[in-house]
Formats: sequence, structure tokens, C-alpha cells
Amino acid sequence: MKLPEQRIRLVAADPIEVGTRRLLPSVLVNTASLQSPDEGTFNFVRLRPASIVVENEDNAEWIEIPNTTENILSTMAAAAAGIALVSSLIIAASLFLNSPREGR
Amino acid sequence: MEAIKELFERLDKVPEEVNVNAVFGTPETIDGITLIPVAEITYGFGAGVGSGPSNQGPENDECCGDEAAADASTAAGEAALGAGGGAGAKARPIAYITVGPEGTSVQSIVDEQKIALAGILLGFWAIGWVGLVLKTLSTRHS
Repeated sequence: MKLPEQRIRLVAADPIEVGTRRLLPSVLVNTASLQSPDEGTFNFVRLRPASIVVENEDNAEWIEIPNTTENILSTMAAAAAGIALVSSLIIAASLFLNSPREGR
Repeated sequence: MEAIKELFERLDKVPEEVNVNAVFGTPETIDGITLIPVAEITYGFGAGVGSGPSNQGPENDECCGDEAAADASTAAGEAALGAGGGAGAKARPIAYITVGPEGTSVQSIVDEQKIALAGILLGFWAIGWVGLVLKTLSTRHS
């Protein structure tokens, strides 16, 4: 079975002019595609804003665009995995320590 | 079949021609502060085609009269062809950029409903694991 081909690119979007400031946004483009002309095709595209660079007349500032919801959900998923891991270790240790051993 | 292949080749080029400017909305100025909405955009599509031998044949159509049997015999050598596809897209606001006299900043938009649902699921998950651990420990010690 052929696996989808995945690509991640950082693409600069068109500059946005706001007064004297110039915003230069960048977007993370994540694509996954499976191309088989004889059987079919599958394409998945995800566009995530990465950051903006704010250019003033005299200086430039880089500002990250965080995805707060996804960060919180990732932390929750890590916590869930940690709970499962620690609980499994406690159960395994309990079974190991209380199992009848040979020679005793 | 050639038309379907051509369609697939055109669809395969879509990820290369993504318009990244769709992520940033149109700037709106309110009371001297310019707001630029920022969204995360996800879309996907798929299509498939398949062919196989036709199950219409003379042996299956003996009951249907001479005319139907003649039609079936002409179609017996042809392959059946089927195709299908689907597509979906989603845009979710994740932040907005404010540009004002005090400077430029990014304000995050938190999906509280999704986080609340995930929190409830995490709570049930934790309670389940703690219960399993307590049950194992109590069974072993009794």
C-alpha cells in the first residue's frame, strides 16, 4: 500500500499595509497527497498562520501567531498519555511484586 | 477513462496552487485601531475510480427474453466503470491582529467549548485509570 506524500512549507503571504506599517505574514502549508492516476487521488491541505513581521519606518518586529486552543489540547493529550503510562506502571509493578515466585 | 485521469491530474496540482492569503482576512479599522482576523484553513478532497468485468452475461439473462439476452450479449464484453469523490473544507478563527497607535499585537481566540469538552473527557479518563489502579491494588492486598 502506498503511503501519502507529506510536505511542509513556509510560504510568505502578500504584505498588508496598515498606515505607515507594513505587515509581512508567513503561513505554514502542510500538504498530504496520494496520487495514483489509475485508482484515484487524495489531497489534504492545512494552512496555519505562523508569524508576522511588522516593518515600521525605522525598525522591524517579529510576532508569533500562537494557536492557543491547539496548544491547550496538546497539553491535555500529553497529560492523558502520562496518566495512562503512570497507571500502567503502577499496575505492572503491583502484579510483579505480588506474583508468587519460584524458590520461596 | 481518459477524462477521469485528466481530472485527477488537475486535482493533484491543487495543493501546489494554494492561496495562502486566504488565512488573513480583510483589515477593518474601528476607532483608529485596525483589526485583521486570522484563521486556520483546512481542506481535503479525494476521488477514486474502479473498473471490473460486467456481471451481465448470457447465462444470467435466460429468463428475460430474446431481446434482453441480445443486449446482454453485446454488453458482456465491456467492463463496468465506477467513480466517486468527496471534498470538505473548514476555516477556524485562531487570532486577530490589532494595529493601533500603541503598536501591533496578536490576540488569541480560544475555542472554550472544545477545551471544556476535552477537559471532561480527560477527567473521565483520569477517573477510569485511578479506579483501575485502586481496584488492582485492593485485589492484590486482599
